[in-house]
Amino acid sequence: MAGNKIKLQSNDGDTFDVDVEIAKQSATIKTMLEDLGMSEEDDVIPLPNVNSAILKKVIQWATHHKDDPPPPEDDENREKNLSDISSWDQDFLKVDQGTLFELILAANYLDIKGLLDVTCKTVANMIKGRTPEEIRRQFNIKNDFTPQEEEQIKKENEWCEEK
Amino acid sequence: MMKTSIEQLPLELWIEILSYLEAHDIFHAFSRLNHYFDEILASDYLLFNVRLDKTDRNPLEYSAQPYWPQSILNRIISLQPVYFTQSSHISEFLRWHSIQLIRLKSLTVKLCGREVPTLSSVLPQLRSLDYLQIKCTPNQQLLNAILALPSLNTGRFRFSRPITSIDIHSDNVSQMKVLDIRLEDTSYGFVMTLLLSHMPNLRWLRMNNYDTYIKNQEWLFFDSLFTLPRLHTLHFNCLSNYSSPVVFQNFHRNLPAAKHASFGLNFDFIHEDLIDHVIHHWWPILETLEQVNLTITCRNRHLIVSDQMFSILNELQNEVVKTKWNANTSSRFLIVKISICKSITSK
Repeated sequence: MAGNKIKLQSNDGDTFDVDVEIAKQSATIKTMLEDLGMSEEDDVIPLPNVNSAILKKVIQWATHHKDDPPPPEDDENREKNLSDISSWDQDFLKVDQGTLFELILAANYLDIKGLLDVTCKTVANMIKGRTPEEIRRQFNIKNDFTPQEEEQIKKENEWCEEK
Repeated sequence: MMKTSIEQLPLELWIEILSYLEAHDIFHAFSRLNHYFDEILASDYLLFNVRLDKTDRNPLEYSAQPYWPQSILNRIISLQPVYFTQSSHISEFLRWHSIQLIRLKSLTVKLCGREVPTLSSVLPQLRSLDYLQIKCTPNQQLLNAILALPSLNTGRFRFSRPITSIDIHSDNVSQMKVLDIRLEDTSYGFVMTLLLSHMPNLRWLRMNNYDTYIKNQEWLFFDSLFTLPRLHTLHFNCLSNYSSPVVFQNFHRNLPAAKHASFGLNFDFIHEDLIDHVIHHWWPILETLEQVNLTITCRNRHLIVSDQMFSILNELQNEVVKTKWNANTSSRFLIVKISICKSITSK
C-alpha cells in the first residue's frame, strides 16, 4: 500500500521510519518483509551491520533513487562502464574514505545493487591510472614486502608494463 | 569510532571493485603494494578484462618472449583493443595464447587482411566464447569458424566486401541468439544467406546496409533460402534504388515467429509505384506483426510529390496504426520521410 512505513534500526540503536517502497530497494529488507512474514507496522527491522550515520546516508540515497527503473543485469563477460555516475551520485559520494568503504559494506549487506555499483565505481575511479606509491599514499597502505620479494613481483608482472 | 580502511573490505567486494578496471590498470596500481593485495591479485575469483594496443614489437621477438603468465591468461574473460577503430596486436596475442584463454567469454577485434586466417584458426580453441565483435573483410574460413563456435551467443560483425567467393553451404550449425551485422558492400546475399541458414536459434537480428544499393534479389525476404524459426525481433536498415511489390514475399515463411520489426528503408526516388508497393504489398504482410515501425526515407534533388500520395498513406490509419508524412528541404535535397507504425500489446 502506498505511504506505508517501516522502522529500521541501526546497530547503535537509532530507529528510522522509512517508506516501505523505498526500503524495498534493499533486497535484504524486501526478503525479510515478504518471505519471513515480518509485518510492516509493528516490527522494527534490526540492521546489526549498519551504524546510524551510514543508515541515514543509505536512506538518503534510496529516497533519491526511489523512482529509478530496476538496474540492468550485469553482463559479467564484458568490461563494465566506469564513467556513468550521475552528478547527484558524484556529489553524494564526496565523503571521506572511511564513509565510502562503510557505504560499500552497507550496500553489500543490504543488497542494494544500484548503491553498490556506484560506490564500487567510485573506488575504481580513485584507483585507475595510479602507481603503487600513489595508492599507498592515498589509502595509507603499509608495504610489508622485503626488497627481494618486491623485486621478484616486479619481474613476474613485467607483462603489464606494456599494453 | 574506528573508521573502516581499504584493507578491511572482504575479497568479494574487491572482486566487484576490480571488475570495473582493466587488467593492466589493476596490476599497475596494486602489484608491489603488500601481501594482502598480492593475495587478492592471485585469487582465482579475480577475472580480468584486457585491452591491447598497437605494438612495435617484432612478431618474432614476441614469439620468443611469451611473458604473459598462465595464472593471468587463464583468468582473462574479455579481450578488446584500446580503441576499437584502431588495429591492435590482439591477433598476435591470440596466436600465442589462445589455448590458455580457457575462460575468455568476450572478444572484440578489428582485423587487417593477413590477420583473418589467424583468427579463423584460433577461434576453435576459444570454447567459452559467448560474445564476438569483429570488423574485417571476411572469408569462408572465418565464417565457418564463427558458425562452429559452440557457446557463442552474440555476434556483432562489421564486414567489408569479401574478396574471395563465399559458399552458402556449411556443415556447422551455430547456437547464436543475437546477431548485429553491418555490411559495407555487395556479396551481401552470400554472406547473409550462409550465416542465417545456419543459425536456427537466432532470436534477435539487426542488419544495416547503408553503403551500397541492394537489389531486389538481395532483400532478406525475397528468397526462401533459410528459415529462422525462433526469431522474434528484427531491425533492418538498407539503401536501395529498386522498389518491387515482391521484396517481402517470403517474410513470414523465413521468419515465422517474428513479433517485432523495424525497417529503415532509404531510397533515392519517390513515385506512385513505391507508395503503391508500400500500401498494397508490403504493409499487408508486415501488418500481421505485433509491433512494426516502417520508415521510408526518400532523398533526392528532384523528388516529385503529389497530394494523392499523402492521402493514400492516411487511409492506413486506424486505432493501432499511425502514419506520418514529413517533407523537408535540406541543403540541395528534398527529403520525404514516411512512417507507418503499429503497436499492440499481446495478450
